[in-house]
Amino acid sequence: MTTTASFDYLKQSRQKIWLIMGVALLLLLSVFFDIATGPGDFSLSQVCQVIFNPDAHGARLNIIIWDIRIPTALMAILVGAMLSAAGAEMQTILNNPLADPFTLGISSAASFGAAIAIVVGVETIPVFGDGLITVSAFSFALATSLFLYLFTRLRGTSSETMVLVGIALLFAFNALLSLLQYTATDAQLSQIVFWMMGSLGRANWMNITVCSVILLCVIPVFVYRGWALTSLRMGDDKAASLGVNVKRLRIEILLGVSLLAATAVSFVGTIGFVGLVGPHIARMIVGENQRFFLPMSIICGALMMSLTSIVSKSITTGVVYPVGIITALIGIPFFISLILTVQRRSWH
Amino acid sequence: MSLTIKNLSFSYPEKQVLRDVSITDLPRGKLTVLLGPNAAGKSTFFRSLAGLIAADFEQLSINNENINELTATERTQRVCYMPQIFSTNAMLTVFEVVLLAQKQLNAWSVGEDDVNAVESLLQQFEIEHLAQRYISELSGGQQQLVSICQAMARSAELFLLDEPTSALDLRHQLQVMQRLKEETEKREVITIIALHDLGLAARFADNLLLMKEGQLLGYGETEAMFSSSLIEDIYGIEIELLRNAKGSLVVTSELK
Repeated sequence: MTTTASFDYLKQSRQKIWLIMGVALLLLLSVFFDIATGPGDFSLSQVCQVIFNPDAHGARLNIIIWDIRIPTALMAILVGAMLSAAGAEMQTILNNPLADPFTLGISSAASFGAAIAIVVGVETIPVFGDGLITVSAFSFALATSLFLYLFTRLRGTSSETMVLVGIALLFAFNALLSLLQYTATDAQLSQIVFWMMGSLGRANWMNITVCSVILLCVIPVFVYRGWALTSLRMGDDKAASLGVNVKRLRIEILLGVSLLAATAVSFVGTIGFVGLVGPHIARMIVGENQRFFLPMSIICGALMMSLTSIVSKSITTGVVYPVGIITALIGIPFFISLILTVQRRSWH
Repeated sequence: MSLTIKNLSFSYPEKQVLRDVSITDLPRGKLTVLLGPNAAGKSTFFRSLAGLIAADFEQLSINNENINELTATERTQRVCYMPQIFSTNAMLTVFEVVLLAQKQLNAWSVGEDDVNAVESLLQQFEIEHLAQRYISELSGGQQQLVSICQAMARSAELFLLDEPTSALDLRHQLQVMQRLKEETEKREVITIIALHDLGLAARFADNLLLMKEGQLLGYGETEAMFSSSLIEDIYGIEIELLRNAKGSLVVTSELK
């Protein structure tokens, strides 16, 4: 039997690349509409003009577009990309479809870090203000990752061990967070709750720079380890017999994932779901070969966040809802309908 | 090219699994079958040779070159180990996983040559019609055939295949063993296959390694080994060795 499998494979690879580029184009459109949407009644053409010429319609519009809307739109795609890339690789190294950056307690640690800064820090050291909350959230998230890392050095890197320790950390930080909330004043409590809802409102050019730098540092590592990560999906032994140092790979990727998740969470608060669903959608479209899976996950995650950002501004005129709420409310029905329509038994 | 092992031992904290396994000059181009009851240490033996676990060797050499001192990456280019259990829920196509083995991780781009090589392997094992299917959707036997294709895609000198026929139907068992024997002769490599099926071993093996309780109890040509009482002792059974009309060795076995 002669098939033209060779032709098929290379052609199929090119088709997947076109698909990725197609979704990237959607992302570009979405970012534009994200910038064009929001409180304040401006026409599309006005927005366009201000993007290309900041002073076209006066200082007020310039500030709204360049200091609020563009940073928010960019932050949305950066955070989406970070969380989705982190989720994709977390699912890969843990061999678990339920894994996302939050599975290992990283986001709970960040929330606790933010809460402790709100309750103790902001009043004690007022000079830092909101910056302190971010720094504290980031420190706790990263410390948790380091703890996980040390633990895996001691007890091995089997995916079961990592998931179990992660869940233990998750519960520990949730309990500590409740304790803090119990002792907090009303004002502090509302601040903690708002932080945890996840919001793009704190986006500014400084945050965007930091996120971009982290992404540019971590993603190349994921790309470089792409074949090894793909082979890990065939089982530890199989990967090892292909020459992959499985333990080192897990630890490297864990550090990358932690860095992405910690950064994203400390700037925008808890935005769940993107890290879980972005990779799932990517997997349904292009499969799990990392050459396609990673870029598709990143773009899907960014697109999801960008669309969420648009929706969060469009529900009630003049009100921007916290994106964390919107992601879950809109994402979940969408996700379930996807699962129901796509008949692939991938994780059975 | 030959394989020499001197005093291979491996222990878990509470239990010694391999004890002073030594083999001198296991020849290339010959199919060697490793026999032994459950928990004899066959898989551990393979994993030690492949470097997946850190075992003690006095010597491990292919062609007088010490393999144990190579880096993990260098070693996996010389030694190909196919694990016994191969099940995965990965959304990777059959074509992709064989390609992965073929490129052995050091690939940035996939060219026409690689694709042709994979295609011809899939054809050899008659699974080219599965090329675009996800590995997770295949039956156990089909997954095993893919796994064998992956092993054959590698250009190693020592092939260690752990029960490659356990999930296959009779026709595929014979076909796979035949191809493995042909490839071993053609590539002039050292192939060791762990099997539970004495019939397949008698039919295809040039040499036999007999293992029990972590020790190598016998090594020699197939017919001679079957004629000795060693196999009967190791498994606690009675066997009879016959030759069928076509000249193949046939083994029948009875409980003692």
